[in-house]
Amino acid sequence: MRFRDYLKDKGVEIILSLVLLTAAVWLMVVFKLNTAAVIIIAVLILITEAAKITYGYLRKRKFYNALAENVRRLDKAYLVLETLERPDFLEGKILCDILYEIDKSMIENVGLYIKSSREYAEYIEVWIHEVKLPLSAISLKLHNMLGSGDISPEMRDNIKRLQNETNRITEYVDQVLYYSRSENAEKDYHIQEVTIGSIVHDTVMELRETLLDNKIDLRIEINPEIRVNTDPKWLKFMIGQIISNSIKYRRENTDSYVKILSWEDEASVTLCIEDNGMGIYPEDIKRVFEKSFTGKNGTGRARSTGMGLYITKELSEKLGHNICVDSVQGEWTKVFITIRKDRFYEM
Amino acid sequence: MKKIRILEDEEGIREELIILLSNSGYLPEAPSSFADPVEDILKAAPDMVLLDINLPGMNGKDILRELRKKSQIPVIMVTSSDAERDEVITIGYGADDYITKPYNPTLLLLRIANVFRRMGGSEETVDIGGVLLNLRKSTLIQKSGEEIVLSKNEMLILSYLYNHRGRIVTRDELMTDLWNNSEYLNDNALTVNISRLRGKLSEAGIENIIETRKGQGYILEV
Repeated sequence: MRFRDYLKDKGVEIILSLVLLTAAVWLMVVFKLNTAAVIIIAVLILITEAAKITYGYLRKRKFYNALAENVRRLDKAYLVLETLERPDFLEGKILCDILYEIDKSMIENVGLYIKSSREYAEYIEVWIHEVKLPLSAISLKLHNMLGSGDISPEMRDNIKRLQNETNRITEYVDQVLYYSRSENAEKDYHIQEVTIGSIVHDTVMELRETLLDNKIDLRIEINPEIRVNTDPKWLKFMIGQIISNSIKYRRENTDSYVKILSWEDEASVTLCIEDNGMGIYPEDIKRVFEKSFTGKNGTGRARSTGMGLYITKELSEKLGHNICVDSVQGEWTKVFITIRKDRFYEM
Repeated sequence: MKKIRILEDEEGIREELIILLSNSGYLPEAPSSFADPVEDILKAAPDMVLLDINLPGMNGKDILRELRKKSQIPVIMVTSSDAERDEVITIGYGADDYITKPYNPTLLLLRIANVFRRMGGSEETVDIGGVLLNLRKSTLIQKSGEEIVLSKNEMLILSYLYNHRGRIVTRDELMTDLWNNSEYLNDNALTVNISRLRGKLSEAGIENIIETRKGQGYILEV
């Protein structure tokens, strides 16, 4: 609150005071009062009026300046009331009381949404748990049908198709699970020390059928000694999403490969997943981690939801890992996950 | 034949597991009531228990804890969420292995075979059609005493076929075993490895011991 603005705001009162002063001086001159007395009275009135305005300004300035300043500085502006002293003038008190009521109603309202989103996340977890049972039964059934010996080649192909479709459902189900986890504010990951090689191994074991069916050569060059601090499930999901993308966006009529490398320095461990697929258009590369972004490669294909890399990035940020991508369109794509060695998240 | 007791309350899964395990040369049995599971296990005396963690009544964790007071039967725990799996691993209930639903059936068979292999003492040499296979040194020992060295992949394929001799082994099973041992072969490479292995076997004097069953897989007849 600046003094000039305050004066402007008090304009009418100041004009009225000046009218009063002029009228008083005029009356005193008409009644022929001693000139010295007129001056003294005029000065007294002036001083009193000036003092009234200054006092009013000083009283309010402290409160409103603190209010404006704290709102600007606070990360959560709605908490400003907690940072202020209760003012001693009426408008200030009224404002504080109203702010308090507004805050209360907002917090109640937000609370409802937090509760409903938490319940939703819980339901998703339970639902995924349940849906895995029929999925298990289906995948066992299909496997047994294949193993039953005398079936026609046509039947075999059909079963293979069904197996592929079932694997896709499983993958999408997992995506929902991790989306729900990445959006949820609560910390539900567990950092453990593991070898990066074992995580990569577990991931590719799960993707084995898809990799083989799509005739993709897998090359893994990882020093088995390299250890990282991470949540193994989350990292497995992330690597799985990246490899799935390599499979989806492979080039036809090419000997496709996926190469997984890892190296470390004093500060971090880097995992690199490389493929010789379609690559990413230069104008798309900055946006691949955006939610629902499909890009030029994705729009041509029914399979792209634009969620995989977004979820991967979200999980990566929560774990404190860094993820980035480099590509030459039509030649190759490399995705790098960097895992820091200091354990800042354990504090 | 190894007897495997399945404790699984989902009927669909239970029935398919019975088929899967019998096709793979095991003797499965699966009760549909879980009134007194620990006593039932002890009475049935199986060679292994496949234990689902979510069962009506007493859950899998409690069953395992009770069972471990009385028996060291190998147990593979089946969980349906990562959280449960983490718990099984961290608390160390004494499961020999664990697997999470929905699992790949071949991977389950592999885990079962691995647990049995760990239990059984490891022999140094086995007899394959009159030729000795040295498991430690990965060599075939001819009657003349001369040794033929097998590559890691050839060795993995031959021991898998040997461990499942007399029944058809699918390419998928061989592939799972190779990948599980960090040999990420593709389809062509598997074919190449098998024909090299056949070459070495015939060099050692045993012909046609690995038969191809078209569309199904391979079988080792000893």
